[in-house]
Amino acid sequence: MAQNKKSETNLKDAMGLVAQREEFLETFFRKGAEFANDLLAEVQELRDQISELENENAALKLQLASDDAIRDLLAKIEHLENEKNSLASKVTNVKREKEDYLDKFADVERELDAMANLYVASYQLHAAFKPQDVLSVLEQMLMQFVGASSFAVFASRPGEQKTLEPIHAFHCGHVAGTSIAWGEGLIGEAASTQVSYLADPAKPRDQEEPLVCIPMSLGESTVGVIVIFGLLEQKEKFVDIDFELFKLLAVHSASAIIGAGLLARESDITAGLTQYKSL
Amino acid sequence: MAEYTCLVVEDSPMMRQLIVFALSRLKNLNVVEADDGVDGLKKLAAGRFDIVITDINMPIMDGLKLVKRIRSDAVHRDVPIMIITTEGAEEDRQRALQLGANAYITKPIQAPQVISKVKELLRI
Repeated sequence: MAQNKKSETNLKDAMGLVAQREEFLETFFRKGAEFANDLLAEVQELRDQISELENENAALKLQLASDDAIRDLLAKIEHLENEKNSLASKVTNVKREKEDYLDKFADVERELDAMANLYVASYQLHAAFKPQDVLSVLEQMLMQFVGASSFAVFASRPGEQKTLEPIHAFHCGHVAGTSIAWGEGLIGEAASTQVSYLADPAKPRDQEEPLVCIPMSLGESTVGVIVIFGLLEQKEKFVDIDFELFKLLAVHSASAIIGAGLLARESDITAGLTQYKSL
Repeated sequence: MAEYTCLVVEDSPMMRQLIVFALSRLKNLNVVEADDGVDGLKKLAAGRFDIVITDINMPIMDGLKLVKRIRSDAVHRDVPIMIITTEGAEEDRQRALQLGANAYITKPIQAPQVISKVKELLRI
């Protein structure tokens, strides 16, 4: 019986051991499975992190490339801005130069215009063979070139009392039959001083009062005075070319009239030239 | 070689010379001169002109009569006409334009003004 009890105890112990072993094994495998699961989860997590980092890395690389492109673009923009500023500056310079050229061109045009006027006036004045033709040229010049509407040419008459008398008048009947003493009034003064008189056409003035007096000089002598009394409606003021024409008239008109007068007296021009040759 | 021909009708030799001088700056323009309206009509009948420049106050036939005659001429009725005159009154300008003139310039003239008007009328 004791033996039975002993074997019963042994059996119980053995069964306990088996149960313990099974419990241990169960725990071991469970823990192993849990550990494996944990490991797998960790691996998965690490994989996710790696993937995330890879994505981040790719994004950073992309951003870096994009930053480089932006830097390049910014550099290009700056370069283009500089180029634009340089071109704008060049355009401004070219515009300024163009304006300068246009101004110069306008000046040259004005000069050429003035030269043409003077050339034609001088040519026509000296191409006239008779004193009357010279007066006609003077009339044309004053009316068409200067824009005078009324004017007269006074000639000096020598004598004890030197006087000026009209020899040609255009639309100024009031001068007919007048005789002006040397040095008297604006006309006489222009003759005696050989200095031209020019009034401002814009200022109000008596219509019979001279606007311009141009002494016709031949060296130290005054042979007459060209007097302008009025201007054409459209002529409001004198311009540079008018002053040049007045100077030309002052110097050339006297010699043209006298030359034409002498030529008119000469019956044979060729003979006259031969005479001059011996002078 | 000139592409255009211009008739300048002006009784004053000085003014004519000045106008011709101004027009000489247009290289493609040939200029024919006439002393008055009748001479102008004779020159017109003898050739073909692209533009006529005329004065108003002229002997024998004045510029306004010439404008009327040109406007009734079969060959030249459409030719542009420019008046260059000392007559500066507005009614004179209006009368000339009504008769068929295309441009009206008063004397004294300035060459650039004449050249610019001729270019405008010839569309060159």
